[in-house]
Amino acid sequence: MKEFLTLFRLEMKSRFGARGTGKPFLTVLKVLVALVLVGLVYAAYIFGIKQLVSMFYLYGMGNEFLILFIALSLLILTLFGISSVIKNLFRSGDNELLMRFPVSPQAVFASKISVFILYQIIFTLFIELPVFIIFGMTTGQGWTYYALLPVVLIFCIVLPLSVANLLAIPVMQIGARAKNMFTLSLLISVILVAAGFYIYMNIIQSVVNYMKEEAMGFFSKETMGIVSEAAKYIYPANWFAYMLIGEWRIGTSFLSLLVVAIFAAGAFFLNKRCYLPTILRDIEGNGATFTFVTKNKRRSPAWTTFCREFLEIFRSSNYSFQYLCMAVAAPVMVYSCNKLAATMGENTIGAVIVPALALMVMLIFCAIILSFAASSVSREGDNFYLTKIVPLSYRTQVLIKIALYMTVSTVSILATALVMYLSHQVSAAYSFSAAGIAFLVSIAVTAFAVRLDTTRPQFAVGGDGELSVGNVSTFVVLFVGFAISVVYGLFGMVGIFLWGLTKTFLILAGVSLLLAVAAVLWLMIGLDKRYDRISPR
Amino acid sequence: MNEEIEKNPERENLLVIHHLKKKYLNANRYSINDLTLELKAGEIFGFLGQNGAGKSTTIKCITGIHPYDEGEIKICGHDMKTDSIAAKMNIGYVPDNHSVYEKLTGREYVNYIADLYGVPLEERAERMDRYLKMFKISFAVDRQIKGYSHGMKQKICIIAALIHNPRLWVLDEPMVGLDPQSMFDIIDEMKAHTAAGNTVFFSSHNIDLVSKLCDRVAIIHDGELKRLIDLHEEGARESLEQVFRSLTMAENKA
Repeated sequence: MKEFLTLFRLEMKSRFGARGTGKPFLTVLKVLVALVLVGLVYAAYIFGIKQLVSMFYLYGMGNEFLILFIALSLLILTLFGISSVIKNLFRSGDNELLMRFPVSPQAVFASKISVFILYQIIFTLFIELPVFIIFGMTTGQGWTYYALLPVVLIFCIVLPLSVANLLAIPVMQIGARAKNMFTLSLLISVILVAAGFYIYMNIIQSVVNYMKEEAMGFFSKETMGIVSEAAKYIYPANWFAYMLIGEWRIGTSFLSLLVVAIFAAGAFFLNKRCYLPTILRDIEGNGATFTFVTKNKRRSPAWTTFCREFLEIFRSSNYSFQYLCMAVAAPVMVYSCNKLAATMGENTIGAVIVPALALMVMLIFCAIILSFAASSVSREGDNFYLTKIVPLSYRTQVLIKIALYMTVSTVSILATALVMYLSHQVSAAYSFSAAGIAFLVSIAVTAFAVRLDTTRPQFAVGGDGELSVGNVSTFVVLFVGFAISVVYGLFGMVGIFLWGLTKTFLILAGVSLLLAVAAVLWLMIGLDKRYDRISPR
Repeated sequence: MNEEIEKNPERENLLVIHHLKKKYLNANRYSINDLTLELKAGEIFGFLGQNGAGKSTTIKCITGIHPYDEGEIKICGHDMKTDSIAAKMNIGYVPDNHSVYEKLTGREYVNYIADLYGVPLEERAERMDRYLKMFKISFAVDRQIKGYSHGMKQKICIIAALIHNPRLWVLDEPMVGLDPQSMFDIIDEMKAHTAAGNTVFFSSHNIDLVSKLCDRVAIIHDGELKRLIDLHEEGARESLEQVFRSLTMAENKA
């Protein structure tokens, strides 16, 4: 127990240790701003849930809402759980260190899983509990509902945790096998992302079409029938819900308890048996790398830096997924979004707005892809010193990185334009005009992203040399990118009616050119000095 | 090397540091305070000091990693602030943490560095082959660096630092983590490098090694140069440890 408490405290300290700025005023200000923002988002969440519950209840689908909500929570917690279990339990940076100390694997496991459970409790209390209470109040549930609520909440924590534990080891093994198969991994990721997105958008599309054809809303008799029927088979979410609302309470309580107990026992025994061997195998396998025989060849400094930057991304499963996979899958994703947006837009406004919608969707995906540029310097991590000692100006190095990002995004944009044209979503002229605008915006977003990262890079890298924390600049770039996309989309749709499509696109191209020039100037002026000032200790 | 210096004391200065001052952001004291050093061609120069004395900071200023507040650094006559590319062309640097692009193979990494310094293909092939054999890592050169041991990473760093045959070879605690044979190989290479008219500047905690290997040594404490010692002077090698202890311990007590 003492071992566990020491390790638990250590784990908590490593996650939530003092991270103040050293300036109390700024720290307090940051906390206050964060609290206000979180408070606003939370208030919106509660308001939205209240409306949703009332709506479902009004149409006599309160129970179905509860089942769908529990199912969704279980799914999110399980998916989040698998990655957390792998990251925090099996691949935690301090595992190798802790294994050297006289502490039992069980104590290490317990301390790490406790932190994870703590996260789940917080999620359950702040996200799930209000929904259950709102549901109980709206539908007028009796005391048994509230009495059994803690039990269901515990089930909602234990079940995803157990399933995640059971699935983590097989997922890790698959990941380890595909570790050095870079092209194959990228290809599979692209197919999965594109297919998943395509299927998802098609489902939404069919719902939209169905509503349109049947001239009815979600709460039509037919839709409600389908949802009610489906809800009956969403196990074990329906048992948890029935247990609360009193449908066959004894039976569903027993079944719920049984299923949670089976999964929990399975996870317990699996981890007892496999935790230590899995950690040791993973530590050992960490050094397992590939052999790639090449010949010595001479390249120009710029081209060799370009190739090195690309290989660093391509040979990292994380970076490759975040960047290359998204860029390659973008045409399919834009096509699917366009298809849906066009259907919805045509219904409400008219087919004339489709090119503006297509431009907006294209820009959204450009922002997602190019947000990667916001960690261009940070990603150097411990190797940042190399960028300072080599006889290549900082300006050139930064421009090479930008050239790589622009090459990838331009190929992606052109492929997207081609797909839009070939699928007859938008005419050739407007497809490629949209691509031109997207290209200019990409220059602006990339320059903006790199500027942010050269101002304040964060070199927090993990044991694998990859960024271990979310880069603030990435979120800023995403936000700005999305804002530009929405503004362009709205302006385009309004402009089409005011000045016609050609003139609107010309205006947007002009604005984009100005944005690109401004962002490039903002990046380039004082770049060498700014870069020179970056000096990790 | 030693004879060369003795024969020709007016050799060119490959590294000149004048009144160097460096203060880290938010620090309340200078990490390097008014440091002046001149390193001649053909000498092995040792840099001694306790932990936190300012050795690594000085090296990072010399190599261009850290900007500095005041003073001047010239490599082969090129100012590090105003003519940094030309200055960097003449430096080969081996860091203390052996950080390299671990996703590349050893050959890819060395070729990358060679490309940056514009090393012709034949020269790089000859040098790479020679160093790989010297450090006995030919078997791993086409493996991803990520799987290298600590010592192997150190060796690939050294090969990359020497691939362009730099006039000034800077090493930050180079012997840490190396097997005895590799240490002897590095010492031999340092001697060969200086014999060819180049200069080696290295920091170390190993006083014994410094006293045997170096021509001159600087002792730094709290960012200030405490003593510059010519080890060719009589009794200087034997008394180095005593001098180091007296300079650093006296300061500590004070």
